[in-house]
This record gives sequence, C-alpha cells and structure tokens, in this order.
Amino acid sequence: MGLIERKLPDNVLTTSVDTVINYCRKSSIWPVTFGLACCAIEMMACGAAKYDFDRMGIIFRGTPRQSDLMIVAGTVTRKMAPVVRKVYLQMPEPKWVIAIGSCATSGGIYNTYSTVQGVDEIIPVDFYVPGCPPRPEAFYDAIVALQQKIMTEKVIRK
Amino acid sequence: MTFEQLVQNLDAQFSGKLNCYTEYKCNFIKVKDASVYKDVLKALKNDASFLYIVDVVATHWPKKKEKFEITINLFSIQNKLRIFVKVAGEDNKFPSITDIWKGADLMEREQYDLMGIIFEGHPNLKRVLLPEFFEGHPLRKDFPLKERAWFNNADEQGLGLKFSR
Ligand code: SF4
Repeated sequence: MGLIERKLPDNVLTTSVDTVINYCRKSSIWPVTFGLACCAIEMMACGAAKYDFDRMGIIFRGTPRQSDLMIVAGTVTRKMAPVVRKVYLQMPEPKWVIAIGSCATSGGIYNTYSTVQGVDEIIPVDFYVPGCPPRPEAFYDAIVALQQKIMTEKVIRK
Repeated sequence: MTFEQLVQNLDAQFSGKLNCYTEYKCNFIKVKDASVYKDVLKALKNDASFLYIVDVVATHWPKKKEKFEITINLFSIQNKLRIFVKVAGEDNKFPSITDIWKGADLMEREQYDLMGIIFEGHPNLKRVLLPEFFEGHPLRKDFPLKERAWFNNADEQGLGLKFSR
C-alpha cells in the first residue's frame, strides 16, 4: 500500500485524514469467511446472537471482493491451498488476515501427509488465534487487536 | 428373511465356500473361495433382495499372508437386513462389482485412491479425493504419515506456491 511515498510528512492535516479513514475502516470490518473445518462452527457462533459480531460492524460476506478481512478458520489441506491463495488475491486493498485455530496457525494436530503446516505458507497473516477451537472471546481479542492495528496505519501515503 | 434363512439358502448353493457368522450383532459372510465371489454377490442381489450397496471398504493387513481385504456392506430394504461380505487376497487386485451395483463406482474409486486396490473391470478407475499429482496410497499401513514432499509436485493453478514445512 502507499500511493504517495515519503512525500507527505506527519502533520495535522495528514494524520487527521488518517484517523478519520482508519476509524471508518476499523468500524466496518467485513470479513470473507473461509471456514474450512470445525473452527468455522466457532466462527458462526461468534456471528450469532450471543457474541454478535454485527455490533462491531463486522458483517460476514460471501465474496472476497466486498471484504477487507479474511478469517481462515480450519484445517488448510494441500488441495485447498491454491483456493485460499486465490481468494486472498481477489480481495481489494487494504486487506488483513486472521488465522483462527491451531490448524490454520501451524497445522495443529494434523502433522500428516495432506495438511499445510500453517496458512502463513500461502498468505501473509496478521493475527494468530491459538486454540482448538478458540473460544469466541479469543476470536474477539483478535478483532480488537486488529482494530488497534488499523488505527496505527497510514492511508495512501507511506 | 432372517440371516439364518439366508445362510441356509447360500450354503445350499455354495457349500463349503462361505463362512457365515454373526459377531457383535453384525452379520458377516466371508467368501473363502475367491472364484465364487461375484456369484455370491449376484445371488445376494438377484435372489435375496440386497439391492442397496451401502459401502465398499478395503483393509490393509501388512503382517497377514492375505494382505488386502474387501468388505462390502449391503442392506436389504425389503427384509431390513444388513450384511457384510468379505473377501481377502494376497495382492491388491479384486474384480469390480460395478456391473452388479452401479453405485459401487465412486466407492471403488475411493478405495483405489486411498488404498491402492485395483478393481479389474471398473470403467473409470482414477483418483477421486486426492489430487492427480499425488503419489502413493495414504491409507496403507506402510505409507509414511508425514510424507509432504508431494506438495511441490505441481503448481496446479500457476500461483507460484512453495511449501517448505
Ligand atoms: S484447530 Fe481444532 S477446532 Fe479448529 S479446525 Fe483445527 S481441529 Fe478443528
């Protein structure tokens, strides 16, 4: 990212624009759901009534083209790996990735012939959530951490 | 028809070539003479109303003399009777039963894919679950569990993926 490189310094104007745009971005994170295994059930529970991600502006989308966050929840197999990469490439900038569960972060218990040992072999990951599956609170923590990270970013310039 | 009646009928037809027993409330028919294997299955379908093939399962016994065993799970909706037909062989070649039950097609392909059983006479014996560029048959007992070298065998969508772990 960064259309204007090292030309605009941090000043009242540029940082204010950053803050406003970042605030909008962090308040309407639209994730593309990449539920691949049991962790996807936990992700659905997060979206359902009790934990209700909608109140944070998180609305799950069925397509990468409308999303800025990819939640990889579950076991990534070798056969699925090109698909994960392709969906990631189809997302418009800015984009972030959260890997949910020990399978997506490291392969987990599936140290076997078919499982990719961590989704970070295929796509860059911003946040890893350990657990098998992680509780919705842990999931929530990753979202809050991502929001904090979004607030530190610079828009357009670098 | 109960399993006992079925066993009587089969014994009259294939005496000495079958071993029928009930274990853990499951009914097994072990075909001892592989040459009558398909005749037994045909008799089960045509004379004993086993129209529904539930599953085809292959087992690998690396330490036994007869290394491979096929178990066919059949169900008779008419008689509410489930049976398991077993046949064992020293090598991985068995006759295909797709000419008796068409539905066995995908089940046999799956067993070929994961266990490497060659079903002779199958119309389209190729891999179904694993990618085409996979080597070996992973559910065999001698297949290495952490064999991931094949990950880099192909870049099927041209995305430049490289796996190192
Ligand atoms: S981490 Fe556990 S719950 Fe999540 S996909 Fe893997 S096995 Fe399933």
